[in-house]
Amino acid sequence: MRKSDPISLSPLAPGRSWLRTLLSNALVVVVVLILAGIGRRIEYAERNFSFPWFHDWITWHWGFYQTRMLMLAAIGVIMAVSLQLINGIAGQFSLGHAGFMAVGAYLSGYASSTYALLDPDDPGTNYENAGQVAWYFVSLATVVFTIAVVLTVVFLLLRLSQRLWRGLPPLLLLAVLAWFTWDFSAGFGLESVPPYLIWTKLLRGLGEMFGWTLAQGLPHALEFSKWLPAWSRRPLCFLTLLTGGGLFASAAGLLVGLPTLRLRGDYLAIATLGFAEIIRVVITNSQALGRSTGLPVTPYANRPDLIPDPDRPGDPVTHYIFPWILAMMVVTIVAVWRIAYSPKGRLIRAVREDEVAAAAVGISTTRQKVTAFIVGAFFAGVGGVLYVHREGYVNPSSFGIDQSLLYVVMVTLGGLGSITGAIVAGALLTLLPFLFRQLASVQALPLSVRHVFENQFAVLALALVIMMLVRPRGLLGGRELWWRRNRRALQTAPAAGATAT
Amino acid sequence: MTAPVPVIPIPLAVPPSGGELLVENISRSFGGLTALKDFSFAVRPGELVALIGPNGAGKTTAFNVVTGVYPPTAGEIRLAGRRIDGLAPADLCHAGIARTFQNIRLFPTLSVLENVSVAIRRPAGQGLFRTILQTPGFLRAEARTEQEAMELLATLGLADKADLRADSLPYGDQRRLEIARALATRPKILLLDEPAAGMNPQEKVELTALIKFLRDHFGVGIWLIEHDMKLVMAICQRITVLDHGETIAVGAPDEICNNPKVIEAYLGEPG
Repeated sequence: MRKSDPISLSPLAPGRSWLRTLLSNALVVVVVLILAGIGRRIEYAERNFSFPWFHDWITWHWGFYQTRMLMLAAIGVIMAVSLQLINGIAGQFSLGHAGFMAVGAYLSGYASSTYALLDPDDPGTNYENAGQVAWYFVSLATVVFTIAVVLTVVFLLLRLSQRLWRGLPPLLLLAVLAWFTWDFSAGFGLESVPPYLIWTKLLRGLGEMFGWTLAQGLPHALEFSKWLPAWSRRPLCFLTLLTGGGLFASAAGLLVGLPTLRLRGDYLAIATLGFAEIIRVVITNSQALGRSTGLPVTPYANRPDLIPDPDRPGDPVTHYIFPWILAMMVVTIVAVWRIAYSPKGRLIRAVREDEVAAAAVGISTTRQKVTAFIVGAFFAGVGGVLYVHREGYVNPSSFGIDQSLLYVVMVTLGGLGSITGAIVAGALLTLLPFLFRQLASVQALPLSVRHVFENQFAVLALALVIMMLVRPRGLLGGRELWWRRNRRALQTAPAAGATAT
Repeated sequence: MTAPVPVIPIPLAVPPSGGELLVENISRSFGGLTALKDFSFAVRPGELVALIGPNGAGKTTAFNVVTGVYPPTAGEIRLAGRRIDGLAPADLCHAGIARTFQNIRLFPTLSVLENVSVAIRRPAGQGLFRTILQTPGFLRAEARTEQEAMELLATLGLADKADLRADSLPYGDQRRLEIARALATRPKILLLDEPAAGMNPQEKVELTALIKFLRDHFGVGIWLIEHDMKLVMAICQRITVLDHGETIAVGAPDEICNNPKVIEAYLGEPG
């Protein structure tokens, strides 16, 4: 509790010295390095733990299976925490989070399957070509930027037309969309496009621009990759993939966030859901991205001599991505936490609480909402990159509405607005199906119980229903596990009459 | 709680320069209904003026037009000579107009201190990357914001409640907090929409003293909408009376009290 005498305040608010921040930043770096160290240990040994006293019950094998579960749980945490920023802290009901994940996954998956190989004759140099991967993203960015400019011009013209007549913009919008559709269907698959099909020409032109930009830069990018010191090539390449995937996902977040600003609640949910479905449909119809059969991506590996052997699914190769996944999980949690509990987070939460009042005190509600979308989408994209490089295969069904709903359930189960809640729920909801399946194979349990657990998702659904009945506000009820955060700002006033008035 | 005496001379006590709010002949119609017709008004920093009238007279419409909720269908609004009609509420706040709401609109789950800190104009050092990295500049800026917020709370007598949830305060304190939040934006003109609504007589007495204190200490111009005539008569220098969207009288409290048109439309017989 603060003292009532204002003169005694120190220039810096208590507990927020620069030294403490330096230490906590250093701590994050240290934790990430430790996790990387653990990752390397695990890849060398698959350890068997068996607890003698549980021997009749459960024999734990710590091996590939358990590591895979841990990695999936970590990715689940990344997705849940990033969605918590959008749904819980900004109060924007987004049902399309898997769409952002898909953007990150597919763009980075395509990049790594096409451009990550440094020397085409030596498969051991996979994931060493940081330069070309980066250039691919840059060329893609120029295309996206051009599209953005065109769309902005169209949008502004529509807005201007409002001055002629108030009802003009929606009519014009419909007209433009119809024109668009006719233009595309008329020009689809044509060898040479007649000049009056402007939109098809524009799109083909964009494709050519993409190809030209790529061709201009790829040789130089290759030189750059070779110039990099050998020890840095793989980390840099993967870092480029993560950043590129994240940035394009946040561009998608901007694209979703801006037009949906005026929408509330269910309407916003439907709009975001629609966006995620559009992404999925675009992927399903794109030859380059593998359509619905999916895109194979070589799992990320550091050791060139460890090429994955399809006959040995327990191969430690995939463990190399383990430190990256854990490190990115830590980064996501720290970043979202720091945004949420900062002046910026206050602004975002104020917009969630009462938009009218927020506008009345000068807060730009647009900027706060869009910021939440952009940051949340960025980390969702990062989660997508990690997911695709762990699985080795990506296919549009992994990013459908089921997944989006699962993430929303994670966020709500943990408690809207609580980051630690999202962490717990994200890990729990990813791990529980596996746990149930393990329980189904435990000999000591009666057969009927084991049959029940075999339907892992049904049991999960039942567990969720029970949870919502018992604790409707979520596991942590919107609070954080960290006691100090709870101590401030969540106390209620003493009973009236107790304070001296 | 009586109106607190400031412990330290606080920089906010310097009256804002310029900042005369001029409302010139604005009208506002909703479809066929003319809610406000040829309404003119002026508030200068340091003045305390009121807008009164029966329900449905167009008072809240006038407020909403001035604070950017909707634009006027005719007429102009100027602040310090600059036209501000049609601006969005956030831009109006930056221009120097602050308002409170008739049904108190706080940020309920935020603390008292956070409610005020949110309104303080952010210094430049708090962008997204600096927030994530928590650079020293970011920390300094945040410390300054918190200090300013605490000083404001102290001036308004809420300093000992800084860490409490905003929605847990008693009604009178919530009203104070809303006023504190509005003042945190360093306005030139403060618009109070029925500040005494829902208060008991004791709270109204304290509110009267508070409003006077605000004008004296912060130097803002205060424009009230109010139904409580005792409060209005006690502190206002000039009163404008609206009825059915039209101005029927403007003047000092005594003149208004004795104006027959006003008595007929609104006040009733003195009693």
